[in-house]
Amino acid sequence: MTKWFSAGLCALEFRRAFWRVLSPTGLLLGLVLALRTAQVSSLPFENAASARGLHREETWVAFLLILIPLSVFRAARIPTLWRSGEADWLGARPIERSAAIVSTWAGLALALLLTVVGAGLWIESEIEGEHESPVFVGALALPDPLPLNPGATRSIAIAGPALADLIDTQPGPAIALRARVRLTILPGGDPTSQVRLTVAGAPGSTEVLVDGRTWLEVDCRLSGESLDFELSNMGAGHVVCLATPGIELWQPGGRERQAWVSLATRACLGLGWATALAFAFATWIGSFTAASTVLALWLALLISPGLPAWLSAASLPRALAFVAEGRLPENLDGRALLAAGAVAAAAWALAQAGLRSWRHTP
Amino acid sequence: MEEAKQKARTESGTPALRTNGLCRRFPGFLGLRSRSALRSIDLEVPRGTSLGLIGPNGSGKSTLLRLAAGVDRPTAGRVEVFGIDVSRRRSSAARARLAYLPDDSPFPVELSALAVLDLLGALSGLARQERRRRAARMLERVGLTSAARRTLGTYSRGMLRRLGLAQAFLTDPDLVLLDEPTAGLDASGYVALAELTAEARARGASIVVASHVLSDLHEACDRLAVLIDGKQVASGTLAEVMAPAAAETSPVPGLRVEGLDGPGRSALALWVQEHGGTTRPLEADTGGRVALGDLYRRLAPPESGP
Repeated sequence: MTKWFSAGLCALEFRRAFWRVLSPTGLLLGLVLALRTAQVSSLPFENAASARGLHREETWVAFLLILIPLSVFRAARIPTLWRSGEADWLGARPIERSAAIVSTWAGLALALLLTVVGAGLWIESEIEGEHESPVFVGALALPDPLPLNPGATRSIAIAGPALADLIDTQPGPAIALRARVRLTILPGGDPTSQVRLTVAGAPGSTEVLVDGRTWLEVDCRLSGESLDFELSNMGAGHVVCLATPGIELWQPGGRERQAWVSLATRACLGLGWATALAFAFATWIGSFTAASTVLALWLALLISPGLPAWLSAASLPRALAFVAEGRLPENLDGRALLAAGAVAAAAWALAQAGLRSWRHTP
Repeated sequence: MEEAKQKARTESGTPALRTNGLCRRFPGFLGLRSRSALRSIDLEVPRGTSLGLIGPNGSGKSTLLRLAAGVDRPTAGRVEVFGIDVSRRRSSAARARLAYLPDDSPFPVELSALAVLDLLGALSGLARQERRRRAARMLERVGLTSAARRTLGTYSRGMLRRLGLAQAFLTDPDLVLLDEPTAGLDASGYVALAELTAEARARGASIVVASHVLSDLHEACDRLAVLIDGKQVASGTLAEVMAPAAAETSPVPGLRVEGLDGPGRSALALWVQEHGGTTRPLEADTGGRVALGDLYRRLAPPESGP
């Protein structure tokens, strides 16, 4: 008789993890919401959506800062508990090691999922207001930082597979979009310059005085298979460059309250593979070292620029930055789920090998 | 198919437990200074019989039981449970037929006794109704019915040992591995243990009991194996194991007293001490001439490396 999943082990770990994770995170979240909600609501912000976005981002950051290490350390603690005695009743039962590992991890994952969803709903219930927010469609890399001398004009054409990867370019009704670039002024000379972004073949254009780093955004409509822009340095000031190597496309129509779903999805996927890895490492090395290693790995992903969006942990900072602006991150695609699932599956295999023997000591 | 073959093999009269050249070494820091817990142990427990493992602390009794239970893996040698080699691969078929009482009580302290037995029954493949029925019955057998819904964090050591007994006999196993089963048990716990082991033997189960107290074993076990420092230094019936040591022991002038109650024993012991004599408890019915300490000293192998 072979059991491939144990609801009992899943329920046991859920019970253990839920209160250990929920208690501190709930306490912190309540504190942040009580203090910051009052502060934000009293601020004379002209743009209430931006204020709510900032508040939402700050609250999520505080929540994740305590949730992530707690979860990773909890996951790394499980093999230590097993080795220090629990294996005596677990290892002698007719259940496969893989089933014990996956069932226990599932209990932890379920506890984290409920914690994250509960926190998201709580945050949204505290942050009142509803606003239409643009949804991030994607960013298109440009071949160079596009330096613009005073008086110069550069054309930017986005077409072909690069555009088709982001949005449906099949013939049909025109799609309303917003495009934006982030500009920076090179040091030296006049610290400002006037720059205009124009949509080719359409009346829309926007001008902005670049001072340090500045966003420049324009409405456009996609009715064919390409988008063409012109970027002009109007001023006699100084050389202007694109601060990020790309042009971002946004689609209107999102709802502000959907932000928590995007953040919760990324957090859950990231926690999923991180806890599986911490569990696996802890079967080979000590639980503290295992948890620290996974947290260091996560930190490296968080601060490394240019990583693909399907790395759920890597896309979390950008998603938080969008939410802080009152915007919505894009929905995660199937590749993010596949990547997290692949890492978790590899971690389970590693854990199974690490638990060839349930005991290491007499 | 493989399970069926395994079962067929197991039904052909193979012993319940057999070890062959069983060794277990535990590595030290950075893999250095490893320590041998078991050195080439050969044992056989025929079906329906019971074996007592006796030896001082650190002799490898618990390690041997863990290897048999599939909780640990040997460094070398084989462990067969009902003919299935459990030393190289984990066999659900073998583990479904055995039960193991560890020497401590590492059960989840946040669960109630009922919930623990329900969980362990589920892991053993019992259906929900069946495991609930058995859990309630076993808790009654070990005297924990009134505390069945209390979390284990509130249990005393003796209660945890009773729960350990309940889980060991929950599934009517064919092979029961008991590690220090009497540790922490009170008189009624002893009775429950004796009844459960007697019932298991009556239905043909094999029992292996590890203890460093001879009185735990001499009534419950058909044969004894003495482990010292990871080596099997003697095996046989109680009389066979004890005979050489007893024969070499010089008779000590003494007096065996029976039938005295507690206060009477205390008064007699006091009188003996006042008159320059000594008293000591008898560890087994071996004529009072051989204490286990003497046996271990006589059987201990020459000093050897780790």
